[in-house]
Amino acid sequence: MFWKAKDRDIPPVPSEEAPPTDEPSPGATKERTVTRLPAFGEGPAGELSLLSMLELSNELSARMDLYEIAEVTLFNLMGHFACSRAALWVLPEEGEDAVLLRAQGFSPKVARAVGTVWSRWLFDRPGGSLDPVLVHELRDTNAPGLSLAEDAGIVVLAPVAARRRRLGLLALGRRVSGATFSARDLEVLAASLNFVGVSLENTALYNRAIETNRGLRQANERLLELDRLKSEFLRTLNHELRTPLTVIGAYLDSLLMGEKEEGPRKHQLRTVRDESSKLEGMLLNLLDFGKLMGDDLQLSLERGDVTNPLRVWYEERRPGITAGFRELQFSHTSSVPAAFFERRRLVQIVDALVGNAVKFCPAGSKITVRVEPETHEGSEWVRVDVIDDGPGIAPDRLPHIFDSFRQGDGSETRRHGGMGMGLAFARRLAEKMNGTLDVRTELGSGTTFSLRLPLA
Amino acid sequence: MADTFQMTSADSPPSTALLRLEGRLDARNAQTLVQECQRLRDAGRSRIVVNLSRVAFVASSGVGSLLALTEMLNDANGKLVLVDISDAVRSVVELLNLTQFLNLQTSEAEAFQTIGV
Repeated sequence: MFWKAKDRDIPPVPSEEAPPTDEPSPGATKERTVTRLPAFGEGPAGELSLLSMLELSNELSARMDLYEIAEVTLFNLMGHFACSRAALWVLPEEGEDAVLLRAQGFSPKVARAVGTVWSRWLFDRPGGSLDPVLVHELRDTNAPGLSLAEDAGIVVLAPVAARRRRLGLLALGRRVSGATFSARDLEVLAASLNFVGVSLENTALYNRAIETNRGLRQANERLLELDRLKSEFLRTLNHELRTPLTVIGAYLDSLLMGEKEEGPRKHQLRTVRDESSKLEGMLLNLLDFGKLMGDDLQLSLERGDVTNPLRVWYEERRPGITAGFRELQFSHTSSVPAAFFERRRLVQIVDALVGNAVKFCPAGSKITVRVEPETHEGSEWVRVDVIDDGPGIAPDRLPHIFDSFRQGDGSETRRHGGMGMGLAFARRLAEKMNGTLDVRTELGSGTTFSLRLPLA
Repeated sequence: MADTFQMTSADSPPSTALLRLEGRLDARNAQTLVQECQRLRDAGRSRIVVNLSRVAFVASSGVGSLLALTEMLNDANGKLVLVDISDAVRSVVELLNLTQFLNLQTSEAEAFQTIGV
Protein backbone atom coordinates (compact mmCIF):
# COMPACT_ATOMS: atom_id res chain seq x y z
CA MET A 1 0.00 0.00 0.00
CA PHE A 2 1.41 3.35 -0.98
CA TRP A 3 0.27 6.72 -2.11
CA LYS A 4 1.72 9.85 -3.62
CA ALA A 5 1.09 13.30 -2.24
CA LYS A 6 0.33 14.75 -5.67
CA ASP A 7 -2.49 12.23 -6.21
CA ARG A 8 -4.55 13.80 -3.45
CA ASP A 9 -6.31 17.12 -3.26
CA ILE A 10 -6.64 17.44 0.48
CA PRO A 11 -5.18 20.39 2.36
CA PRO A 12 -2.20 19.62 4.55
CA VAL A 13 -2.72 19.41 8.30
CA PRO A 14 -2.30 22.75 10.09
CA SER A 15 0.82 21.67 11.98
CA GLU A 16 2.75 21.60 8.73
CA GLU A 17 1.68 25.17 7.97
CA ALA A 18 2.60 26.56 11.37
CA PRO A 19 5.42 29.08 11.64
CA PRO A 20 8.87 27.48 11.73
CA THR A 21 9.39 27.87 15.44
CA ASP A 22 8.45 26.19 18.68
CA GLU A 23 8.11 29.55 20.43
CA PRO A 24 4.55 30.72 21.16
CA SER A 25 3.59 33.88 19.26
CA PRO A 26 3.13 37.01 21.42
CA GLY A 27 -0.22 37.02 23.10
CA ALA A 28 -1.00 33.50 21.95
CA THR A 29 -3.22 31.54 24.25
CA LYS A 30 -1.91 28.25 25.57
CA GLU A 31 -5.28 26.60 25.12
CA ARG A 32 -5.21 24.18 22.26
CA THR A 33 -8.12 23.57 19.98
CA VAL A 34 -8.53 20.66 17.64
CA THR A 35 -11.83 21.67 16.12
CA ARG A 36 -10.18 23.11 13.00
CA LEU A 37 -8.19 19.98 12.28
CA PRO A 38 -9.35 17.39 9.76
CA ALA A 39 -10.50 14.05 11.15
CA PHE A 40 -7.59 11.86 12.15
CA GLY A 41 -6.14 9.97 9.24
CA GLU A 42 -7.48 12.29 6.57
CA GLY A 43 -5.25 13.67 3.85
CA PRO A 44 -1.77 12.51 2.89
CA ALA A 45 -0.27 13.63 6.22
CA GLY A 46 -3.06 11.91 8.14
CA GLU A 47 -2.62 8.75 6.13
CA LEU A 48 1.11 8.85 6.79
CA SER A 49 0.32 9.19 10.50
CA LEU A 50 -1.93 6.14 10.37
CA LEU A 51 0.67 4.12 8.47
CA SER A 52 3.29 5.13 11.02
CA MET A 53 1.14 3.97 13.91
CA LEU A 54 0.34 0.72 12.11
CA GLU A 55 4.03 0.11 11.53
CA LEU A 56 4.82 0.82 15.18
CA SER A 57 2.03 -1.43 16.44
CA ASN A 58 3.01 -4.30 14.10
CA GLU A 59 6.71 -4.08 14.84
CA LEU A 60 6.32 -3.79 18.59
CA SER A 61 4.13 -6.86 18.65
CA ALA A 62 7.04 -8.82 17.15
CA ARG A 63 9.71 -7.61 19.61
CA MET A 64 10.54 -8.99 23.02
CA ASP A 65 13.78 -7.14 23.73
CA LEU A 66 13.90 -3.73 25.43
CA TYR A 67 16.66 -2.41 23.20
CA GLU A 68 14.95 -3.54 20.01
CA ILE A 69 11.75 -1.91 21.24
CA ALA A 70 13.68 1.31 21.81
CA GLU A 71 15.18 1.21 18.31
CA VAL A 72 11.85 0.51 16.63
CA THR A 73 10.14 3.23 18.68
CA LEU A 74 12.72 5.93 18.11
CA PHE A 75 13.12 5.42 14.36
CA ASN A 76 9.36 5.22 13.92
CA LEU A 77 8.60 8.39 15.88
CA MET A 78 11.51 10.27 14.32
CA GLY A 79 10.16 9.45 10.87
CA HIS A 80 6.57 10.09 11.93
CA PHE A 81 7.27 13.56 13.32
CA ALA A 82 10.35 14.38 11.21
CA CYS A 83 12.73 14.77 14.16
CA SER A 84 16.45 14.06 13.91
CA ARG A 85 16.85 13.60 17.67
CA ALA A 86 15.03 11.31 20.08
CA ALA A 87 15.69 9.28 23.21
CA LEU A 88 13.88 6.61 25.23
CA TRP A 89 14.42 5.71 28.90
CA VAL A 90 12.89 3.01 31.10
CA LEU A 91 12.14 3.25 34.82
CA PRO A 92 13.36 0.08 36.54
CA GLU A 93 11.44 0.39 39.81
CA GLU A 94 9.52 3.01 41.72
CA GLY A 95 11.92 5.68 42.94
CA GLU A 96 14.91 4.47 40.88
CA ASP A 97 16.63 6.65 38.29
CA ALA A 98 15.62 6.29 34.66
CA VAL A 99 17.87 4.06 32.54
CA LEU A 100 18.68 5.29 29.05
CA LEU A 101 17.87 2.62 26.46
CA ARG A 102 18.75 4.45 23.24
CA ALA A 103 19.51 8.04 22.20
CA GLN A 104 19.62 9.28 18.62
CA GLY A 105 21.24 12.67 18.10
CA PHE A 106 21.61 13.41 21.83
CA SER A 107 24.88 12.76 23.65
CA PRO A 108 24.38 9.79 26.01
CA LYS A 109 25.81 11.81 28.92
CA VAL A 110 23.27 14.62 28.48
CA ALA A 111 20.48 12.12 27.84
CA ARG A 112 21.23 10.30 31.12
CA ALA A 113 21.06 13.58 33.03
CA VAL A 114 17.77 14.53 31.37
CA GLY A 115 16.25 11.14 32.22
CA THR A 116 17.19 11.43 35.88
CA VAL A 117 15.77 14.93 36.29
CA TRP A 118 12.63 14.62 34.21
CA SER A 119 11.37 11.12 34.99
CA ARG A 120 10.03 12.12 38.40
CA TRP A 121 8.54 15.43 37.33
CA LEU A 122 6.68 13.93 34.36
CA PHE A 123 4.88 11.40 36.53
CA ASP A 124 4.32 13.59 39.56
CA ARG A 125 2.44 16.46 37.93
CA PRO A 126 -0.59 17.87 39.69
CA GLY A 127 -3.70 16.02 38.54
CA GLY A 128 -1.66 12.97 37.55
CA SER A 129 -1.60 13.90 33.85
CA LEU A 130 0.31 11.51 31.61
CA ASP A 131 0.10 13.79 28.53
CA PRO A 132 3.22 14.71 26.59
CA VAL A 133 4.51 18.23 27.32
CA LEU A 134 6.06 20.90 25.14
CA VAL A 135 9.21 22.02 26.91
CA HIS A 136 8.85 25.70 25.97
CA GLU A 137 5.41 25.81 27.62
CA LEU A 138 7.00 25.00 30.96
CA ARG A 139 9.13 28.14 31.14
CA ASP A 140 6.90 29.87 33.68
CA THR A 141 6.53 26.75 35.83
CA ASN A 142 8.81 25.26 38.47
CA ALA A 143 9.73 22.29 36.29
CA PRO A 144 13.32 21.26 37.10
CA GLY A 145 16.07 20.89 34.52
CA LEU A 146 14.35 23.15 32.02
CA SER A 147 17.61 24.63 30.73
CA LEU A 148 19.10 21.13 30.57
CA ALA A 149 16.29 19.99 28.26
CA GLU A 150 16.29 23.18 26.18
CA ASP A 151 20.08 23.22 25.79
CA ALA A 152 19.90 19.60 24.59
CA GLY A 153 17.37 20.65 21.95
CA ILE A 154 14.48 18.70 23.46
CA VAL A 155 11.09 20.00 22.35
CA VAL A 156 8.72 17.31 23.63
CA LEU A 157 8.93 15.12 26.73
CA ALA A 158 6.40 12.35 27.23
CA PRO A 159 5.81 9.71 29.90
CA VAL A 160 5.43 6.07 28.86
CA ALA A 161 2.95 4.13 30.98
CA ALA A 162 0.66 1.11 30.90
CA ARG A 163 -2.40 0.97 33.13
CA ARG A 164 -1.02 4.14 34.74
CA ARG A 165 2.10 2.25 35.82
CA ARG A 166 5.17 4.39 35.14
CA LEU A 167 7.45 2.58 32.70
CA GLY A 168 9.62 5.13 30.92
CA LEU A 169 9.88 8.44 29.14
CA LEU A 170 10.56 9.72 25.66
CA ALA A 171 12.13 12.90 24.34
CA LEU A 172 11.85 14.31 20.84
CA GLY A 173 13.99 17.09 19.39
CA ARG A 174 12.96 19.89 17.06
CA ARG A 175 11.17 18.92 13.84
CA VAL A 176 13.61 19.36 10.98
CA SER A 177 10.85 20.78 8.78
CA GLY A 178 10.53 23.67 11.24
CA ALA A 179 6.90 22.81 12.00
CA THR A 180 5.58 22.90 15.54
CA PHE A 181 3.89 20.05 17.37
CA SER A 182 0.13 20.59 17.21
CA ALA A 183 -2.37 19.37 19.79
CA ARG A 184 -3.24 16.56 17.38
CA ASP A 185 0.43 15.61 17.04
CA LEU A 186 0.69 15.30 20.81
CA GLU A 187 -2.45 13.14 20.90
CA VAL A 188 -1.02 10.90 18.20
CA LEU A 189 2.29 10.73 20.07
CA ALA A 190 0.49 9.76 23.30
CA ALA A 191 -1.44 7.04 21.43
CA SER A 192 1.79 5.71 19.92
CA LEU A 193 3.40 5.66 23.35
CA ASN A 194 0.50 3.59 24.65
CA PHE A 195 1.62 0.85 22.25
CA VAL A 196 5.16 1.28 23.54
CA GLY A 197 3.99 1.09 27.17
CA VAL A 198 2.14 -2.18 26.63
CA SER A 199 5.10 -3.59 24.75
CA LEU A 200 7.56 -2.61 27.51
CA GLU A 201 5.35 -4.17 30.16
CA ASN A 202 4.86 -7.39 28.19
CA THR A 203 8.58 -7.62 27.56
CA ALA A 204 9.40 -7.12 31.24
CA LEU A 205 6.99 -9.92 32.16
CA TYR A 206 8.34 -12.19 29.42
CA ASN A 207 11.96 -11.55 30.41
CA ARG A 208 11.21 -12.24 34.05
CA ALA A 209 9.47 -15.51 33.14
CA ILE A 210 12.39 -16.66 30.96
CA GLU A 211 14.90 -15.74 33.67
CA THR A 212 12.90 -17.51 36.35
CA ASN A 213 12.78 -20.66 34.22
CA ARG A 214 16.50 -20.46 33.59
CA GLY A 215 17.19 -19.98 37.28
CA LEU A 216 15.01 -22.95 38.19
CA ARG A 217 16.69 -25.16 35.62
CA GLN A 218 20.14 -24.12 36.83
CA ALA A 219 19.13 -24.70 40.44
CA ASN A 220 17.91 -28.14 39.47
CA GLU A 221 21.19 -28.90 37.66
CA ARG A 222 23.14 -27.73 40.72
CA LEU A 223 21.06 -29.96 42.96
CA LEU A 224 21.69 -32.94 40.71
CA GLU A 225 25.41 -32.20 40.66
CA LEU A 226 25.50 -31.80 44.43
CA ASP A 227 23.69 -35.07 44.80
CA ARG A 228 26.22 -36.78 42.60
CA LEU A 229 29.10 -35.23 44.54
CA LYS A 230 27.57 -36.28 47.80
CA SER A 231 27.18 -39.87 46.65
CA GLU A 232 30.73 -39.98 45.34
CA PHE A 233 32.09 -38.51 48.53
CA LEU A 234 30.24 -40.96 50.70
CA ARG A 235 31.31 -43.88 48.56
CA THR A 236 35.03 -43.16 48.26
CA LEU A 237 36.00 -41.20 51.35
CA ASN A 238 33.69 -42.36 54.05
CA HIS A 239 36.07 -44.92 55.43
CA GLU A 240 39.37 -43.04 55.07
CA LEU A 241 38.34 -39.74 56.58
CA ARG A 242 35.03 -39.91 58.30
CA THR A 243 35.46 -43.24 60.05
CA PRO A 244 38.35 -42.05 62.27
CA LEU A 245 36.34 -38.97 63.17
CA THR A 246 33.35 -41.12 63.96
CA VAL A 247 35.47 -43.31 66.20
CA ILE A 248 36.88 -40.25 67.98
CA GLY A 249 33.35 -38.91 68.38
CA ALA A 250 32.12 -42.23 69.80
CA TYR A 251 34.90 -42.38 72.39
CA LEU A 252 34.28 -38.79 73.35
CA ASP A 253 30.58 -39.56 73.78
CA SER A 254 31.50 -42.51 75.95
CA LEU A 255 33.80 -40.36 78.10
CA LEU A 256 31.08 -37.72 78.36
CA MET A 257 28.53 -40.27 79.52
CA GLY A 258 30.99 -41.56 82.10
CA GLU A 259 31.45 -38.09 83.50
CA LYS A 260 28.60 -37.93 86.01
CA GLU A 261 29.09 -34.48 87.44
CA GLU A 262 28.89 -31.20 85.62
CA GLY A 263 32.24 -29.48 85.94
CA PRO A 264 35.30 -28.21 84.05
CA ARG A 265 36.26 -31.67 82.82
CA LYS A 266 32.83 -32.41 81.34
CA HIS A 267 32.79 -28.93 79.78
CA GLN A 268 36.19 -29.57 78.17
CA LEU A 269 35.09 -32.97 76.83
CA ARG A 270 31.92 -31.43 75.40
CA THR A 271 33.97 -28.72 73.70
CA VAL A 272 36.28 -31.32 72.13
CA ARG A 273 33.22 -33.28 71.00
CA ASP A 274 31.66 -30.16 69.39
CA GLU A 275 34.89 -29.22 67.65
CA SER A 276 35.22 -32.76 66.34
CA SER A 277 31.75 -32.47 64.82
CA LYS A 278 32.67 -29.12 63.24
CA LEU A 279 35.80 -30.68 61.79
CA GLU A 280 33.67 -33.35 60.20
CA GLY A 281 31.43 -30.67 58.64
CA MET A 282 34.39 -28.69 57.33
CA LEU A 283 35.83 -31.84 55.83
CA LEU A 284 32.65 -32.32 53.87
CA ASN A 285 32.79 -28.78 52.49
CA LEU A 286 36.43 -29.01 51.52
CA LEU A 287 35.89 -32.22 49.63
CA ASP A 288 33.01 -30.68 47.71
CA PHE A 289 35.16 -27.71 46.78
CA GLY A 290 37.98 -29.96 45.63
CA LYS A 291 35.55 -31.52 43.20
CA LEU A 292 34.25 -28.17 42.07
CA MET A 293 37.77 -26.89 41.44
CA GLY A 294 38.09 -29.60 38.88
CA ASP A 295 41.09 -31.39 40.24
CA ASP A 296 39.73 -34.60 38.80
CA LEU A 297 37.61 -33.11 36.03
CA GLN A 298 37.83 -35.05 32.80
CA LEU A 299 37.04 -32.83 29.82
CA SER A 300 36.29 -34.24 26.38
CA LEU A 301 37.58 -31.60 23.98
CA GLU A 302 36.04 -31.41 20.52
CA ARG A 303 36.91 -29.50 17.38
CA GLY A 304 34.29 -26.87 16.52
CA ASP A 305 33.09 -23.32 16.04
CA VAL A 306 32.74 -21.60 19.42
CA THR A 307 30.10 -19.22 18.07
CA ASN A 308 27.50 -22.00 17.79
CA PRO A 309 27.12 -22.85 21.50
CA LEU A 310 27.66 -19.19 22.43
CA ARG A 311 24.81 -18.05 20.17
CA VAL A 312 22.45 -20.59 21.76
CA TRP A 313 23.59 -19.43 25.21
CA TYR A 314 23.18 -15.74 24.21
CA GLU A 315 19.60 -16.19 23.03
CA GLU A 316 18.73 -17.86 26.31
CA ARG A 317 20.67 -15.51 28.58
CA ARG A 318 19.72 -12.14 27.02
CA PRO A 319 16.14 -11.86 28.35
CA GLY A 320 17.26 -12.23 31.95
CA ILE A 321 20.01 -9.66 31.61
CA THR A 322 17.70 -7.25 29.80
CA ALA A 323 15.16 -7.74 32.59
CA GLY A 324 17.81 -6.24 34.88
CA PHE A 325 18.14 -3.27 32.46
CA ARG A 326 21.57 -4.22 31.21
CA GLU A 327 22.25 -4.69 27.51
CA LEU A 328 23.88 -7.92 26.32
CA GLN A 329 25.38 -8.05 22.83
CA PHE A 330 27.03 -10.90 20.96
CA SER A 331 29.26 -10.42 17.93
CA HIS A 332 31.97 -12.25 16.03
CA THR A 333 34.13 -11.78 12.98
CA SER A 334 32.78 -13.11 9.69
CA SER A 335 34.92 -16.23 9.92
CA VAL A 336 36.04 -17.85 13.16
CA PRO A 337 38.49 -20.76 12.86
CA ALA A 338 37.71 -24.03 14.61
CA ALA A 339 39.05 -24.44 18.15
CA PHE A 340 39.40 -27.29 20.64
CA PHE A 341 37.00 -26.96 23.54
CA GLU A 342 34.19 -28.60 25.49
CA ARG A 343 30.87 -26.95 24.72
CA ARG A 344 29.46 -27.17 28.21
CA ARG A 345 32.58 -25.82 29.88
CA LEU A 346 32.98 -22.97 27.35
CA VAL A 347 29.42 -21.85 28.06
CA GLN A 348 30.04 -22.25 31.80
CA ILE A 349 33.07 -19.92 31.63
CA VAL A 350 31.32 -17.24 29.55
CA ASP A 351 28.23 -17.45 31.75
CA ALA A 352 30.38 -16.98 34.86
CA LEU A 353 32.17 -13.98 33.33
CA VAL A 354 28.91 -12.36 32.21
CA GLY A 355 27.34 -13.15 35.58
CA ASN A 356 30.27 -11.41 37.22
CA ALA A 357 29.81 -8.35 34.97
CA VAL A 358 26.09 -8.23 35.78
CA LYS A 359 26.90 -8.30 39.51
CA PHE A 360 29.28 -5.38 39.39
CA CYS A 361 27.80 -3.15 36.63
CA PRO A 362 24.87 -0.84 37.40
CA ALA A 363 21.61 -0.78 35.43
CA GLY A 364 22.07 0.84 32.01
CA SER A 365 25.44 -0.87 31.46
CA LYS A 366 26.38 -2.75 28.33
CA ILE A 367 28.01 -6.18 28.29
CA THR A 368 29.42 -7.49 25.02
CA VAL A 369 30.59 -11.00 24.19
CA ARG A 370 32.86 -10.83 21.15
CA VAL A 371 34.65 -13.65 19.34
CA GLU A 372 37.63 -13.20 17.02
CA PRO A 373 40.77 -15.05 15.90
CA GLU A 374 44.07 -13.83 17.33
CA THR A 375 47.81 -14.41 17.22
CA HIS A 376 49.04 -14.08 20.79
CA GLU A 377 52.55 -14.78 22.05
CA GLY A 378 53.37 -16.62 18.83
CA SER A 379 50.36 -18.94 18.89
CA GLU A 380 47.03 -18.95 17.07
CA TRP A 381 43.93 -18.68 19.23
CA VAL A 382 40.24 -18.02 19.16
CA ARG A 383 39.64 -15.24 21.66
CA VAL A 384 36.32 -14.75 23.45
CA ASP A 385 36.11 -11.33 25.12
CA VAL A 386 33.53 -10.42 27.74
CA ILE A 387 33.56 -6.62 27.80
CA ASP A 388 31.64 -4.38 30.18
CA ASP A 389 31.47 -0.62 30.62
CA GLY A 390 31.12 -0.85 34.39
CA PRO A 391 33.18 0.62 37.23
CA GLY A 392 36.35 -1.42 36.54
CA ILE A 393 38.52 -3.20 39.10
CA ALA A 394 40.78 -1.31 41.51
CA PRO A 395 44.51 -1.92 40.76
CA ASP A 396 45.25 -3.28 44.24
CA ARG A 397 42.52 -5.92 43.88
CA LEU A 398 43.29 -6.93 40.31
CA PRO A 399 46.04 -9.47 41.20
CA HIS A 400 43.62 -11.36 43.47
CA ILE A 401 40.45 -11.59 41.40
CA PHE A 402 41.21 -15.15 40.24
CA ASP A 403 41.83 -16.29 43.82
CA SER A 404 39.27 -18.62 45.33
CA PHE A 405 36.86 -17.05 47.84
CA ARG A 406 37.86 -13.50 46.81
CA GLN A 407 35.46 -11.09 45.10
CA GLY A 408 36.69 -7.52 44.78
CA ASP A 409 36.94 -6.98 48.51
CA GLY A 410 35.12 -8.30 51.54
CA SER A 411 32.46 -5.63 51.35
CA GLU A 412 31.76 -6.40 47.70
CA THR A 413 31.46 -10.09 48.57
CA ARG A 414 28.87 -9.24 51.14
CA ARG A 415 26.99 -6.86 48.86
CA HIS A 416 26.97 -9.09 45.78
CA GLY A 417 26.74 -12.47 47.45
CA GLY A 418 28.28 -15.72 46.28
CA MET A 419 31.44 -17.44 47.47
CA GLY A 420 33.86 -15.81 45.05
CA MET A 421 34.57 -19.15 43.37
CA GLY A 422 33.29 -18.15 39.88
CA LEU A 423 36.41 -16.56 38.43
CA ALA A 424 38.81 -19.05 40.03
CA PHE A 425 36.80 -21.92 38.61
CA ALA A 426 36.51 -20.21 35.20
CA ARG A 427 40.29 -19.86 34.93
CA ARG A 428 40.75 -23.47 36.05
CA LEU A 429 38.35 -24.64 33.32
CA ALA A 430 40.13 -22.48 30.70
CA GLU A 431 43.45 -24.12 31.64
CA LYS A 432 41.82 -27.56 31.46
CA MET A 433 40.99 -26.75 27.84
CA ASN A 434 44.64 -25.74 27.24
CA GLY A 435 43.55 -22.11 27.10
CA THR A 436 44.05 -19.00 29.19
CA LEU A 437 41.82 -16.50 30.94
CA ASP A 438 43.10 -12.95 31.47
CA VAL A 439 41.66 -9.63 32.47
CA ARG A 440 42.38 -6.01 31.74
CA THR A 441 40.52 -3.15 33.31
CA GLU A 442 40.39 0.60 33.61
CA LEU A 443 38.87 2.15 36.69
CA GLY A 444 35.71 4.00 35.71
CA SER A 445 35.69 2.71 32.12
CA GLY A 446 35.13 -1.03 32.27
CA THR A 447 36.66 -4.46 32.28
CA THR A 448 37.48 -7.02 29.58
CA PHE A 449 38.00 -10.70 30.33
CA SER A 450 39.72 -12.60 27.48
CA LEU A 451 39.38 -16.34 27.14
CA ARG A 452 41.84 -17.81 24.65
CA LEU A 453 41.26 -21.27 23.21
CA PRO A 454 43.82 -23.09 21.01
CA LEU A 455 42.96 -23.65 17.35
CA ALA A 456 42.06 -27.16 16.29
CA MET B 1 12.21 -3.53 -7.67
CA ALA B 2 12.59 -6.25 -5.10
CA ASP B 3 10.37 -6.20 -2.05
CA THR B 4 12.97 -7.54 0.35
CA PHE B 5 15.70 -5.25 1.60
CA GLN B 6 19.21 -5.52 0.25
CA MET B 7 22.24 -3.36 0.94
CA THR B 8 25.39 -3.54 -1.15
CA SER B 9 28.60 -1.65 -0.71
CA ALA B 10 30.40 -0.32 -3.81
CA ASP B 11 33.92 1.02 -4.32
CA SER B 12 34.38 4.66 -3.36
CA PRO B 13 37.26 7.11 -2.77
CA PRO B 14 39.10 7.09 0.59
CA SER B 15 37.17 8.36 3.64
CA THR B 16 33.88 7.95 1.75
CA ALA B 17 31.46 5.08 1.30
CA LEU B 18 28.82 4.19 -1.26
CA LEU B 19 25.82 2.06 -0.28
CA ARG B 20 23.13 0.95 -2.69
CA LEU B 21 19.81 -0.03 -1.15
CA GLU B 22 17.02 -2.05 -2.68
CA GLY B 23 13.53 -3.04 -1.55
CA ARG B 24 11.65 -1.73 1.48
CA LEU B 25 13.33 0.52 4.02
CA ASP B 26 11.34 -0.05 7.19
CA ALA B 27 11.61 -1.04 10.85
CA ARG B 28 13.05 -4.43 9.98
CA ASN B 29 16.16 -2.99 8.38
CA ALA B 30 16.50 0.63 9.61
CA GLN B 31 18.85 -0.51 12.37
CA THR B 32 20.91 -2.57 9.90
CA LEU B 33 21.49 0.54 7.80
CA VAL B 34 22.37 2.64 10.85
CA GLN B 35 24.76 0.01 12.20
CA GLU B 36 26.55 -0.26 8.86
CA CYS B 37 26.96 3.52 8.70
CA GLN B 38 28.21 3.57 12.31
CA ARG B 39 30.77 0.94 11.35
CA LEU B 40 31.86 3.00 8.32
CA ARG B 41 32.07 6.17 10.44
CA ASP B 42 34.18 4.38 13.05
CA ALA B 43 36.47 3.20 10.23
CA GLY B 44 36.99 6.84 9.20
CA ARG B 45 34.51 6.84 6.33
CA SER B 46 32.08 9.47 7.53
CA ARG B 47 31.08 10.88 4.12
CA ILE B 48 28.49 8.38 2.97
CA VAL B 49 26.50 8.29 -0.25
CA VAL B 50 23.34 6.18 -0.20
CA ASN B 51 21.69 5.32 -3.49
CA LEU B 52 17.93 4.92 -3.03
CA SER B 53 16.89 4.54 -6.68
CA ARG B 54 15.75 0.95 -6.09
CA VAL B 55 13.96 1.53 -2.80
CA ALA B 56 10.32 0.74 -3.47
CA PHE B 57 8.90 1.84 -0.12
CA VAL B 58 10.07 3.86 2.82
CA ALA B 59 8.20 3.58 6.12
CA SER B 60 8.41 5.99 9.04
CA SER B 61 11.23 3.99 10.59
CA GLY B 62 13.15 4.23 7.33
CA VAL B 63 12.72 8.00 7.30
CA GLY B 64 13.71 8.08 10.97
CA SER B 65 16.91 6.17 10.22
CA LEU B 66 17.86 8.62 7.45
CA LEU B 67 17.30 11.58 9.80
CA ALA B 68 19.31 9.89 12.56
CA LEU B 69 22.15 9.15 10.13
CA THR B 70 22.21 12.74 8.87
CA GLU B 71 22.53 13.98 12.46
CA MET B 72 25.10 11.31 13.38
CA LEU B 73 27.36 12.00 10.38
CA ASN B 74 27.09 15.79 10.82
CA ASP B 75 28.30 15.31 14.41
CA ALA B 76 31.28 13.36 13.04
CA ASN B 77 32.10 16.16 10.56
CA GLY B 78 30.86 13.92 7.80
CA LYS B 79 27.85 13.97 5.56
CA LEU B 80 25.01 11.77 4.34
CA VAL B 81 24.00 12.24 0.72
CA LEU B 82 20.96 10.50 -0.73
CA VAL B 83 21.06 9.79 -4.43
CA ASP B 84 18.41 9.34 -7.07
CA ILE B 85 15.51 8.84 -4.71
CA SER B 86 12.61 6.93 -6.19
CA ASP B 87 9.16 8.53 -6.57
CA ALA B 88 7.98 6.53 -3.59
CA VAL B 89 10.68 7.98 -1.35
CA ARG B 90 10.30 11.48 -2.81
CA SER B 91 6.58 11.54 -1.93
CA VAL B 92 7.33 10.98 1.74
CA VAL B 93 10.32 13.32 1.81
CA GLU B 94 8.27 16.14 0.29
CA LEU B 95 5.25 15.51 2.47
CA LEU B 96 7.36 15.71 5.60
CA ASN B 97 9.19 18.81 4.30
CA LEU B 98 12.57 17.15 4.54
CA THR B 99 14.03 18.44 1.28
CA GLN B 100 15.99 21.19 3.07
CA PHE B 101 17.33 18.94 5.82
CA LEU B 102 18.30 15.92 3.72
CA ASN B 103 21.05 16.25 1.13
CA LEU B 104 19.42 14.95 -2.08
CA GLN B 105 21.34 14.55 -5.33
CA THR B 106 20.38 13.13 -8.68
CA SER B 107 23.46 11.00 -9.42
CA GLU B 108 26.31 9.31 -7.58
CA ALA B 109 28.85 11.49 -9.40
CA GLU B 110 27.03 14.62 -8.28
CA ALA B 111 26.83 13.26 -4.73
CA PHE B 112 30.58 12.71 -4.55
CA GLN B 113 31.12 16.24 -5.85
CA THR B 114 29.05 17.68 -3.00
CA ILE B 115 31.23 15.90 -0.45
CA GLY B 116 34.39 17.23 -2.06
CA VAL B 117 35.58 14.23 -4.04
